[in-house]
Amino acid sequence: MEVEALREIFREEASELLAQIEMPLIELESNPSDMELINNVFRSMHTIKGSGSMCGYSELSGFTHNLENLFDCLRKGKLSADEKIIRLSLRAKDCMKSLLDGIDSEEDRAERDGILEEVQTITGGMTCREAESEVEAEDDTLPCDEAVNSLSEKYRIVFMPKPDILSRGIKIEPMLAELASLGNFRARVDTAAIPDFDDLEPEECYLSWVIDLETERDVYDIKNVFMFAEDYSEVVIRYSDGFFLNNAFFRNEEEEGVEKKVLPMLSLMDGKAVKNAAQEKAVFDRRKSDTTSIRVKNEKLDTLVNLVGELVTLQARLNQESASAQVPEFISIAESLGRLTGELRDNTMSIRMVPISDTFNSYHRLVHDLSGALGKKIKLITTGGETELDKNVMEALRDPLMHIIRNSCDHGIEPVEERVSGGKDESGIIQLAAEHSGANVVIRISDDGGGLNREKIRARAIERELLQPGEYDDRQIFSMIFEPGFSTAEITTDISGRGVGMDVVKRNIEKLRGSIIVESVEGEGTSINLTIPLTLAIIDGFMVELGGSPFIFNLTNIRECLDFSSKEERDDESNFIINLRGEVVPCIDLRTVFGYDGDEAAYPQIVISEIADERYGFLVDRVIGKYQTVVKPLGKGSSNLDMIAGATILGDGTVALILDAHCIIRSMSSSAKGSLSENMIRQ
Amino acid sequence: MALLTCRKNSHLVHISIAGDATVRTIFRIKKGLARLIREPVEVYKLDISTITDTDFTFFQLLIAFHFKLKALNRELVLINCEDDSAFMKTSLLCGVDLRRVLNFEGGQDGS
Repeated sequence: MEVEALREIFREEASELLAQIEMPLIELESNPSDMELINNVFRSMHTIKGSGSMCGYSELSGFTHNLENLFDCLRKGKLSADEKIIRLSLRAKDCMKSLLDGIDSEEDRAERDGILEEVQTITGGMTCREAESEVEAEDDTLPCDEAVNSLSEKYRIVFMPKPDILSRGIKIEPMLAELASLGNFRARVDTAAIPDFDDLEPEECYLSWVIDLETERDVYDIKNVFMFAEDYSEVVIRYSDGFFLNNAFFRNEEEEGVEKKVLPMLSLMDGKAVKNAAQEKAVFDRRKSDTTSIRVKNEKLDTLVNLVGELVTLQARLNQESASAQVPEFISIAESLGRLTGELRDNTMSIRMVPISDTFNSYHRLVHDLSGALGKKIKLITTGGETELDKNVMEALRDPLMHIIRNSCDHGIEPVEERVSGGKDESGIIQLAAEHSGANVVIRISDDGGGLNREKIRARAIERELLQPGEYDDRQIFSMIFEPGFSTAEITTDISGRGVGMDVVKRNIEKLRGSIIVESVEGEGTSINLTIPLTLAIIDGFMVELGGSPFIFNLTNIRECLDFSSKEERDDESNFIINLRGEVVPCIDLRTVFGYDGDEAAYPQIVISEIADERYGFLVDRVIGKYQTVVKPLGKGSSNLDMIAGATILGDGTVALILDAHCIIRSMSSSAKGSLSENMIRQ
Repeated sequence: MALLTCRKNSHLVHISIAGDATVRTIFRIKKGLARLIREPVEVYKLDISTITDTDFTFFQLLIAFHFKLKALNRELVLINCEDDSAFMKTSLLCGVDLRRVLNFEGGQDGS
């Protein structure tokens, strides 16, 4: 493998490891003696150090070595995790990320030096090696035979590394040496899987080990020896109580049940060499085929999605041609191909889906740091982390979510004294929850803070002429926080700052074709609900016709279609209202919006949409129906057309514009009489 | 860095590996040994006394090399193996009973 390719893999893996250690570090604050958390961090540090060194990241490797040493001391009980160590580790983690990203400024170097000095002070200069040699020295005082007394346990261990274990920076001999240091040790190796000399990949591992160990140490000490190898090997540890198969424990009587699954390993365990060729192959193939996932570059996935998009477009054309050709066989083939294309599309889109938990987890650190900086006690609780979202949508969502959480910490959650005096728990809670809702994901960010001050927002909005004097419902009032400039400078109570940058948040959510709703009860807290489409690449569209041209709505926003009755009153050129089963629904004439001056269709129709729980109608010439839409971005020259979310190519090659219903509503609401057509289609 | 040197006479190749014989150098060692298979000789003597560091990858390579030569009716003989050498200590740790698999000459157990 090319060195640069290896380095790239390392960068990706190390970034993931660094992201993963934040949670255990923060959890350590409340559970400082949790060895699993300490081991998690230690393992990650060890891997980054080892692999970093292999891939030429010597500065990163050296720096991480010191942190690994610190956590080794925690593991060995020589130090206990306290707030200082945790904060230091979080700072160190940031430095490691910078080094990984190639950022190494004077300031970064000073920060690293400072951290290393503090680590030195905490550990008192004790190093991993010294700690290990102390253990070894203790062991050396007693010969192994004497060390093993009547309390000792006999273990039989089967260790089957995956062929690529060495490329993961894991060395086997030190593990064997560590086991040997625990008691009476005898290793045997199974060489049956070594291939012919010509086929042998010299850097791969073809050996499996059966180790007999008699020691006073408990099974977890033995498991610890394999802690770095457990992802890249199969390990069975049998002793009097039963046996561990990797991390799963089985009692002796359960052996029969798992026997089929691990037959070759149990054969080895019973001292039978794997001689049978088929069995030998099974052992080896099992290790090889255990790779359940592969890494694929984002760009490759994007290319795949684009190609599937092209295929969907071509499929639409085939459907059109087959329908006009009226040849039954042709139609049948087109239908079968359509089903396959649909499945391919769904599967391809699902590949790009990632659980939202990674994004959610990254905010624990944010809340942790902000709590410290603001002198507040804040807990972040996340639910629904398994909910999946398109990777690109997730990326775009990261900043808006961060902004909302930051605002909740800063302006929502009250200071400790205020909370206590108000009868609340001293720790404020921010909840992040995600769940699927049709073709959307709903993300709810709620806090139990002071809530929004409805009256102050209303008064301010009227003062700024954002609202006319009068009564409004909560949603209309609270939506004012998304107005540009509705800032802390203007309102200086607990709601202050809720408007800072929230206009940008809203704009970013709308760019994702999502919507945002605020609910708040003064004194009880605020909840912000984001509704985001699962994907942006291929959507179920709803096609309509205007002035002979096709346009597409996002089907998830469409509720129903009505025939247009001329009885409805139109109060100006483009806006009017209808009575929909007793509900007043504002409507927008899209012909006017897009400047189509010709004759109206004989039987125009109204498409009723629902966005952020608000209903709006769009008057169109004709409803065509559901259409699978591959979203293509607009070119640079057209990117200022806010009301257009993109374009798609129809089966016959015609370009249809995809309408951004949010923006149309917003634009028409703010400028009822504006001649919005000027910079639109006629250009 | 591993240093693989060899001397050849009509029926024997004398190979010496010095320094590092671990995963870091194993690819080159295999390449060197593969080249030597082309030599029309009956016996390959491998001197391992100057190996300073080794790991299991070298043992599995030696075993594969041994069987390859055997299939060609040739012989691999390891020479100058002292039980306290890095090579033998690591093989013991790894549980690789080389004396049962390979032919030895010289050293404590050699003939």
